[in-house]
Amino acid sequence: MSSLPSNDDLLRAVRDLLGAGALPDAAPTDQGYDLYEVFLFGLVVRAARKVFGTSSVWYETPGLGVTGLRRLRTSPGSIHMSQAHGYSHAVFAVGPGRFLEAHLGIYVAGSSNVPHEADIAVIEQSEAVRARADGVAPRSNQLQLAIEAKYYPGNLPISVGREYLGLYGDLGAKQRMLVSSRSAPRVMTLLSARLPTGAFRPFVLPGSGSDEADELEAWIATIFRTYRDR
Amino acid sequence: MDDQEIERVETRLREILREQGLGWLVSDVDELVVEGVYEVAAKRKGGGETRETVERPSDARRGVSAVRPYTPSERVRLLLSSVQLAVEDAQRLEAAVVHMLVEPQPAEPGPVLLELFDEREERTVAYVARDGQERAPQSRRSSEIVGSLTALADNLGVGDTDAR
Repeated sequence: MSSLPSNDDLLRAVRDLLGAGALPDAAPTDQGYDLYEVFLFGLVVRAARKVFGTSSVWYETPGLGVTGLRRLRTSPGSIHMSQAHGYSHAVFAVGPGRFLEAHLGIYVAGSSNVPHEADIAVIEQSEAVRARADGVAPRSNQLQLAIEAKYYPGNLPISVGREYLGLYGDLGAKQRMLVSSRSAPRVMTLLSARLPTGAFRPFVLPGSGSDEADELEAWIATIFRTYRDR
Repeated sequence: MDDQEIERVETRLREILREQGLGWLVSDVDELVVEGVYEVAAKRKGGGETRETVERPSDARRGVSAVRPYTPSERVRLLLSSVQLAVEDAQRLEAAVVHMLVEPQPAEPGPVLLELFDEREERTVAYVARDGQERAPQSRRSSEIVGSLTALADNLGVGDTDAR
């Protein structure tokens, strides 16, 4: 009869598996957790395709134009430095002469003029062009959508809620929200008391058996539809 | 399993996670441990009070808020479940990202290449679609890690590793 593995056997197995590339290359090896922000960026792009049409969404790299390359940041940066590093952004053709740009991890200027990182920022193209030309951060009150992404495998610490309340107060974006992989009673209680409905979106993950990711995408599509129809 | 063995395993697991680049996860768990377990002290009809863990925001209205420390079992369960969920999430997130951003679309020049570029470390993670074929994530034995973590939780008597 085979014996059950000991705790030490199991710990060795965990160590060996983690060390043998058992996680994706872009796996959680730092707190930024790039894959989660890229996933949310993908939801924004997919919502745009549904509202504006598949042929109305493409990627551009400043200085190079339309590209099949999506080169995305894994650390926050300035929109006017995108060309130097070859970073791409998504472009949405809303209507004749009307374009939006979706960026991952750029600094935007808050109402206080303090720069904040916007994990996902959707901006009118005219504001993006101005910011690149002038070498400044886009103004947050010109953002159509700003998403703060927080990935935690376990419950969210209360610091996430406290910090977002501060950020929410200084970002002037038309629609701004905190999107997270999980939640916690403390955070939900705090944010539901202080933020408007829809400003906190927890449990957004792919294939987790819940509808939150689909609901978020539908909400973003509504935001795009409202913008297009005004 | 006694608290001494639970704490020994917890210490060793923390070391392994830090060695393998998951120190941030240990820090996240530590932040939750420092916060303690959120409870309410609710008055009972016959007198006295009862302490109940707050699971939902509505629970918070049942009494006065209180905090108690995590027990060793709760701490190690929190750590094990966090690692398990991080492993499972990583696999699903990668598959979703490849599906949403690498799959070529009409009116796009091909082939499609998705790069996540870290300019501080000059590290690139790339996913490529050639000839309209998605690059499926490789099988990375994540189910084996999850199996080991579940077995460890069962050995320690802290099973049911759903952190949500």
